[in-house]
Amino acid sequence: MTKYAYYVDLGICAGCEACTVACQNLNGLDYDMRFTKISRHIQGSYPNVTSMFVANQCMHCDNPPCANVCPTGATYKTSEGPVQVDYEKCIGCKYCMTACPYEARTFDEQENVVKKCSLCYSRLAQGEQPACVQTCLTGARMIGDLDNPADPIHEAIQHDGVVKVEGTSFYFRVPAGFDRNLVPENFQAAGITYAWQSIFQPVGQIMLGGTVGALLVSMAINAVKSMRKEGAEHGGH
Amino acid sequence: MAAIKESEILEPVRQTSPHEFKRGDKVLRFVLGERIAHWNHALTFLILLFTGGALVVRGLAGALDRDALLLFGQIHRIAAVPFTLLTIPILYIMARKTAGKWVRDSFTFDKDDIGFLAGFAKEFFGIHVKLPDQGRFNGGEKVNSILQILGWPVMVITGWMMVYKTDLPRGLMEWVIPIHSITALLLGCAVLGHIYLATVHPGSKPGLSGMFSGWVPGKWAKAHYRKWYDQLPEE
Repeated sequence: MTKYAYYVDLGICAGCEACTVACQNLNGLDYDMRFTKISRHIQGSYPNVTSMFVANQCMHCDNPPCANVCPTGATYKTSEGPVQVDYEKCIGCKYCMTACPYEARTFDEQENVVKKCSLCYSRLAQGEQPACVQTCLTGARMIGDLDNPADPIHEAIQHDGVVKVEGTSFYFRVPAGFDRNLVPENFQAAGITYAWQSIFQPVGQIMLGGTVGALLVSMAINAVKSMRKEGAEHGGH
Repeated sequence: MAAIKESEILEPVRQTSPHEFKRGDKVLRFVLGERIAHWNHALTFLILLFTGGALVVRGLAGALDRDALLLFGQIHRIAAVPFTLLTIPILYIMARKTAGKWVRDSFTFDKDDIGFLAGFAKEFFGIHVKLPDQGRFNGGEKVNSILQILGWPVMVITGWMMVYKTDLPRGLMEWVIPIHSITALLLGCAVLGHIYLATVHPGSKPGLSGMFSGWVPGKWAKAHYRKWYDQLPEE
């Protein structure tokens, strides 16, 4: 088995945004549509100023709420980790956008679908790296297979300052002096999203099934009664 | 069924007072405004239920192709406009008195209404029971009315919020979307029962004409709504 994990060393990310552009180029995205976003955090006051760039994109959650709420099954989690969208099935309802804790999804007005980073899953299948990893000028980005003990990602995630974003496929190395909270927070399941799938939908189906069942029983009893009544009337004549 | 004369159709339009009365062997049960409001609400609701259901129930949504679902989405939003805007103005303009009374009646339960609810479960399954005399609306109709009166604003508010779902806080929409769906399901169950009682169930289906012509058979009205029937004036 393969279990993909993604690592970003924020200590060496130069904020050049080559990853963003490579991703846009590969996916044919407009200038303002970004699957991977880079933001700059500056702390301290002159002359003691330090800064760090933070990457934000689809975190390929272990139990992705976007897939849970997708009514058509367009969004789904692969066994290898990357969360995929079948754009042929997406109806642009945007439920996934409201469910995503990382604001990693963007609506494509022209195609009426909600898009996001695929972790270049099709490239991975061909033994290539995601565009963002391949193009990263400082080598801050890395993708690897956690199930392969020889994969270099195991060494990378052992570095000091590495933070695993729990519940996702992502690891960040946060340089000394910067707070953990600057990188995306650990995945937290929104109770209601799961309640919808595991409580409301089944309860609703039971309600609906119960109603239909009651109607059918009532209909059958009344049909039998009217048949008997007719039979009695005919018998009386 | 005896043919309904033209004057019987026009009578309710004129909004004569009193709004409900007996004429011969018939009783005027619903004035024109109530009937138009009912059908606006009913037809738009059914379209919304069907198109909305297809969009969110995964088995259905997964089975239909994308173009069909996109069309359903558009129909859903179009039907939402008359569903939202028309029912209350129609009732306000054309049936203010009776609609106001309906709302008040719906939220007033006496012991006969409770008795009706207790006995109706048996009646529903064909077991004959003596039900207490009812007013203009029986206990079951009151429950359905309450569901509609309270469910309508829930559907309208949450529904229009969903049109702007990405502009509203995520934590809010996480609640709004399931509330919209679960309320729709609840109302959908109620409407299934309502349609069944109006069209199939032998005890109650004679009342259906009340929502078309406005008139129902006097005998049926007397048997089902005795307290109401007894105080109705003759024309």
